Amino acid sequence: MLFNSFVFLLFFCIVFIVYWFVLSQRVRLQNLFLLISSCVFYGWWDYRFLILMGLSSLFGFASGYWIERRTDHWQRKLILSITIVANLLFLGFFKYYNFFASSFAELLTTTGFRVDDFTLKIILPIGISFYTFHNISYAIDVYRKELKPTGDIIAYFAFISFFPQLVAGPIMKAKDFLPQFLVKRNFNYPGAVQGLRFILWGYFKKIVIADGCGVLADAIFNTYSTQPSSVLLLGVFYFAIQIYGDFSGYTDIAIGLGKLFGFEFTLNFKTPYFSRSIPEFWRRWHISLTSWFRDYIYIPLGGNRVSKAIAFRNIFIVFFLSGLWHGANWTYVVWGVLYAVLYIPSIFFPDKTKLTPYIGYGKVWPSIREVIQLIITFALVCVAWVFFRSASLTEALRYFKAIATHPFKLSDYYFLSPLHMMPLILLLFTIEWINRDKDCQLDLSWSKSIRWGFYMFLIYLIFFSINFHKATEFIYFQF
Amino acid sequence: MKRLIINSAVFVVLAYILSTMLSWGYTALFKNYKPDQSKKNWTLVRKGDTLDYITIGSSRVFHMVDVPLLNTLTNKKGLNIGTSGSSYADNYALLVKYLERNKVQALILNADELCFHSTTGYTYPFKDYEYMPYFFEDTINQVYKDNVPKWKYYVWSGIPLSRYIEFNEHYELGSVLWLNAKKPVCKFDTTAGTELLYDMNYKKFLRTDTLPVQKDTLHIEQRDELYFHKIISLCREKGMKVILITTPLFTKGIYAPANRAKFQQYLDRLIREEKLTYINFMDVTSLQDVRYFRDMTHTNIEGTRIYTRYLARQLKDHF
Repeated sequence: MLFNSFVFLLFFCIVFIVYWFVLSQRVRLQNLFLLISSCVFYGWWDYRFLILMGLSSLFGFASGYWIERRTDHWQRKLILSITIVANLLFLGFFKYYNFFASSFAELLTTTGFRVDDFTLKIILPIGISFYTFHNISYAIDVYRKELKPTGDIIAYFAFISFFPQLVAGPIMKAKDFLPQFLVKRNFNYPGAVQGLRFILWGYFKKIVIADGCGVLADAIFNTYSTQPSSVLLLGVFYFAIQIYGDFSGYTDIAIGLGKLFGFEFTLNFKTPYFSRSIPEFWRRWHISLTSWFRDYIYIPLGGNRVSKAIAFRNIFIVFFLSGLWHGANWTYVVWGVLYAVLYIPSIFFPDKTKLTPYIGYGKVWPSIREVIQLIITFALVCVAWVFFRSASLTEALRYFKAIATHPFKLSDYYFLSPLHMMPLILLLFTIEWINRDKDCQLDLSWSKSIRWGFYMFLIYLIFFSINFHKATEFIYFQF
Repeated sequence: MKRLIINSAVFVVLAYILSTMLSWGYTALFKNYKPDQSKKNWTLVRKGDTLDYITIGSSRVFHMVDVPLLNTLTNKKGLNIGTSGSSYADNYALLVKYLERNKVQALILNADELCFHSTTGYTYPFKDYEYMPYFFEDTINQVYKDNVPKWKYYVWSGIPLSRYIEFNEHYELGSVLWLNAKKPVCKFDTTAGTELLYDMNYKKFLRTDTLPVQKDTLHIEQRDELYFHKIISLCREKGMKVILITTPLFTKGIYAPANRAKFQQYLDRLIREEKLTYINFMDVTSLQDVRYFRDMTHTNIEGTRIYTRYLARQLKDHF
């Protein structure tokens, strides 16, 4: 079931009404109902994968219980290690088996050995990367005694499978999210209103911006060998906007839905394209994944309170894993490693000037220095996106070569024709700029009539952009 | 919760009022402006034509009656307003709109078995999205009522703008605002409305594994028959002559012989009832040659030209 489908709208209305009007006084029943609803939501794609998720969750629940029962440090560590390894094997089999098998076969072939194809026909279950990380997070938090394991299996299953964040995040840490399932949720008007704003802005980003840019980016990437470099640059720009609109749109909708059910999610995006450096970009892009890696991998490895070489090694490991987490393809690995390389200046030559919390802090406009920093950061991010978008490394390199060698024509029809998205992109960034210090970009401090008028305008834009006959999938579903 | 419900209700009411006004604006705009240069839209915006005849039907008219050639041979002035995959209901709606602004003396209407079981004969027999600006006009509204699912009809009737929103790819405001940035492409002859099919690779459809299995039963849909009669009545009201034709089919592939006979009997009854002039090309044996077909239901350019010459000869007696 896709957020941008009519059937989801109907599903959500039913769940919301039953949740608040029938079950509002009973937390356990609410959790059970959320669990059933999440199973319907997930099973809509393929009900067979519910078994996988169920087994994974059961294992996660049991490991928390076992860790808690053991007092011996080494036994606790052993159970934690088994849990992590088992979860990673589970994820690895479904997501990476074919990737490693074919890469290994290619490696053997290049060294002169002839190998038969030993890949398997494995379907990647949607959301596996997300719910596996939730399970690992639970085991680690219990091990660290930052979270008391729950004996309420329904609450645990509801936490793992909670439909707004099940298939594309945000990746919630168990210590932050599970306790919310154990207490009574009260309907709160300001929270619900903010939730609706998150949802509206999320739909705008997904349907109007991401889907609109996606069509153009796809058209350009699919014909890059014949396009002038001006169009190729435009293609990268559109993909950068598409992936931001798509992914942040999804998580905004998820956060909004969570709020409507009385839950608080971690913020996942905070105007990342207004970043002035690569480290700042990663503090604003996919925040939940970054903080997951920071808390569970980077800091245990020593973080940055070590020698610069070790700090770089830690960064490298985190970004290598982050790239691999995104998909079983060398393009994602290179994408991740490239960010590790881009981090080098901030490790070895840290900027001594204190960075303000956000660009143009306390002012309407940014300084010239900030604008230059922003442009450089965005350009570097775009370079990395080419690897992310391309089907293979060869394709990515060919794309770069085409940018460098093809003529630069600004009057080309293929350059001028896709420019109709620009006013909408401008609208997106104008609103984001105005509210760059806020969590929800639609928390506008305008008078009610203007605000409502603007909301209606956005709704019409969404309605006149949505494809009612075929909803487009979210890019991050494949991860 | 109460506050949320009240505010949501107020918002919905305001949105309803605004949508109603926008819907009026959309209707006024798209009645006369068609950003999408489809054959249907090309026909709908025409005005001031004074013609001797028009041909109407599905792709079997659109691609198989070479109107420029027919005009030359008959020394008449005609137009082909046939559109792909369209049922009689669709033809009727188009004809209603076309005759409001144009004057025609005769209608050449195609009739074959596909026309009388349109829901299985065509993938999208009534192109509901094409007539949205005329949705509330009585005649067209009735066509919608008869041809779209009830729930859809009520949604489009009751929720302003919903009919444009559902088909937003055809009613893009952007394409108007951006001065039609999409370059319209008309594949058909824009002087007479015909599109000839150049594909001569006729042998590919004769592979036995691609031939449809024909059942020996005749299936007639009441709705198609109803709209067949409505077309005839409309023409009579306008003082137009109706000439019924059956464009060629590659009969070896498409029909079970017993079925064909049954359909012909049925059609003969309709012709008698309506007292129509009828020209049947199904039995012209010289046209039953695979070289003249692109597929089982369409002639290629060569077949179309031969067939149009036959038609011209026959029509001379009836014009």
